[in-house]
Amino acid sequence: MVGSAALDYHRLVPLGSAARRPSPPWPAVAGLTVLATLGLSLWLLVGSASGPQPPFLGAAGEPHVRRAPRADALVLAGSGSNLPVTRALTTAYAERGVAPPPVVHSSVGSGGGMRALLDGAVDIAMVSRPLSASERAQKVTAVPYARAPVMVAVHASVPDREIDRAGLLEIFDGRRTQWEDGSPIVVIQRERGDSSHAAVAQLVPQWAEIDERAYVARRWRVIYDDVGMQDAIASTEGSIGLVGSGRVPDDLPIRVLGFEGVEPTAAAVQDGSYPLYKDLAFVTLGDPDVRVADFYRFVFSDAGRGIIVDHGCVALGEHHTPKGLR
Amino acid sequence: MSATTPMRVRLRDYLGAQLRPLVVVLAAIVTVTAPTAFYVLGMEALRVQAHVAARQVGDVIRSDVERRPAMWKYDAVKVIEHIRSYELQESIARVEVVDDLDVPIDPRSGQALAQLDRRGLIWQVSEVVVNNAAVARVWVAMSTVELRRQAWLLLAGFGGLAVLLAWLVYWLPMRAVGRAEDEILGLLGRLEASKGELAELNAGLERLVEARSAALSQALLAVQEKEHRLRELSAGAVELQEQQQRAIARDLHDSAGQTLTAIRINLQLVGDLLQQAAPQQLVRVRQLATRTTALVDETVEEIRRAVRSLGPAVIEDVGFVRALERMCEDVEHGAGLLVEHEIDLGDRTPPPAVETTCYRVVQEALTNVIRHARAGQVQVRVRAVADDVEISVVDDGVGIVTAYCGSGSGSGRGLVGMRERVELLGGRLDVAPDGDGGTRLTAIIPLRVG
Repeated sequence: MVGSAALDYHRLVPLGSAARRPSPPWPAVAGLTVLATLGLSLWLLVGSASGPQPPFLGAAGEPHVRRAPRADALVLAGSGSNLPVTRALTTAYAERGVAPPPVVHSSVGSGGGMRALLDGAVDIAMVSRPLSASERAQKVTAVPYARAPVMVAVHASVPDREIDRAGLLEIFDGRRTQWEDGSPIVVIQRERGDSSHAAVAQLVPQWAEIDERAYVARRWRVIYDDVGMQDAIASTEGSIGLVGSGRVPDDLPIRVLGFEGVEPTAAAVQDGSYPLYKDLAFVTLGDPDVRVADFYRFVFSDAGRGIIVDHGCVALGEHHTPKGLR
Repeated sequence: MSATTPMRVRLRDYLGAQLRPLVVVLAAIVTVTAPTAFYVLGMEALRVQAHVAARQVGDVIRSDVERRPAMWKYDAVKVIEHIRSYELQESIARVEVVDDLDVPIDPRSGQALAQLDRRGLIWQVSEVVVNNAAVARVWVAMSTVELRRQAWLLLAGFGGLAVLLAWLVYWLPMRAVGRAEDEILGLLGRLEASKGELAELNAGLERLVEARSAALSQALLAVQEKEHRLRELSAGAVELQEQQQRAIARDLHDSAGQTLTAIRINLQLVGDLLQQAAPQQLVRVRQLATRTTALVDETVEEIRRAVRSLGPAVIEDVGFVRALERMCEDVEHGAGLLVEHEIDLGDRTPPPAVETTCYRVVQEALTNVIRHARAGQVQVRVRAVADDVEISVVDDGVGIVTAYCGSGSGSGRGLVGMRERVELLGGRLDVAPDGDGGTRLTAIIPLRVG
């Protein structure tokens, strides 16, 4: 009979019970796998973020000031613009029988000189820019002693002889790229806060913006001291840069351009016809001590003023001299 | 009953229960692994970059220290500023140079560090060693902000990918199994429907078979009835024919035979009486009487042959058993053949048609043996077996072909006639070779006709 031979389909496909109750280990294994994966990931993430921490992060206050041991000799350091004339002055001063002779370190910049002064590493800081408010707040005494022309210097191969403020802006802004003979212009820039660039900024309002834009864009090669600038110009055809040391060495292939028809001489600076210049000053902590005062007297002496003039600078007059030295 | 229970194969449930944990594991691994590896390796790369940058800056500082041991730190600010502005990658968040007392060289660092977002920075340090003395340390901080942003983006992307993969891994097998389950359910449904149809078909077939069987049984009964009636009619006809033949034979024997015998006797007396009459007329009358007597003898002989052909009157005279015995004895004496016979019907008395048919079968068999078998011995056995009369005639002659189908034109017809008579009475007749080379004739005839 057909009915007696009917198939039991549920016996053929006994999956219902398995579907209701999946084998217990599998979900547990899956859960453990997920937990292990997440735990391993968390461990790796935490481990990867660990590392040394700098100790200065926890002491955000005034930087530690350490007074350097004072030496017997008069020690000077600071701006490279000051170096030629100051070394000539100290040499002449030492030749007058001062012992030990003053020590003039190579350029550390006006800021470096001020920090060395504040650290007590030097007796006199040489600066070629106005003091900042924070520096003035340190009860320092600045004594300007020379006014140096800021010169637009070029490589000897450059055919141009003159430049004006518009041309200076075009070149440093990258809008003018060739000299008169079609040769390429290579601009060499000083670092932020350089005193020569600051002197131009005082004369040309747009200069500061152009200079900063070029610096941020890394458009030009940047040199960090006056001597380096001279070397860079001398070794780069078609180059142009600012030099603020009063004069350029005669033995280098460097030529100085006239600015708006005026040659950068001390006389032109003194009579006001040459507008680009900066004042060179000595800075001491508090009032100058005896040794410094003695040196200052030499600087402001006729001999000293002669040396300053000989270096292409204007020896500043008596009204710049501290009252105690007059 | 299973046919009324809703069928559920549950393939989807089973597969879904197995796949869901797998999908979760897959999603978790795909989501977490790659972004974690990317972040960890990125952090290590940043750490290496920071360390390399610190060493590079340290080399610059070392050179300056060696050149200006006393004043290096005051000029280093420019170097640091230059490095910060020009030499370092954008991912470097801060470069700080400290002296041997861990005081930053750059005086502006205090303010810058105070404003520095320290979260997400990793630091590496390199010492500046000159003459075996650590004069400075260079700390470089790398920002992990971009790395974290990319890792989050990667996490989101791989999360989406994981969801997609999980969906595919879950959906594709589930869809395939779902379709298979639907097909299985469809097949099961069709099988269930077929089962019902098969049951109905089976029931109908059974009814049809029953009806056909009933009709066949009725037809068989009708055929059997007709066959019975036909057998009765045949037996009746045979019986009637036999009775009529016996009556005719008896009438011919009793009346015509007696009459012709009397005429013959009278004709002999007439001849004897005419011996004394005139010679010429007497001769003629005598010749006429003699010729008439001869005609009577021929007529009597013809009547005898007619009587023998109509039926064995000897059965009427001496009885069935004795008639068979006498026939066997006559054959033995007349044909020179050894005839062994056994006639035993017990108390059974066959109907006349059966007796006549049995007599004719034995008579025809012996005639064939005499004529064709060239046998020396024959056994005749007639006996009652149950409700039948069984006749067997066995000879040791030349065999069946010659004995029963042989050269004689009448033998074949005789055998056919015997079979027809036997079958008319519901019996059967077989002729087969005997084991010793002769022929065995067997006939079975029901005792009760119809």
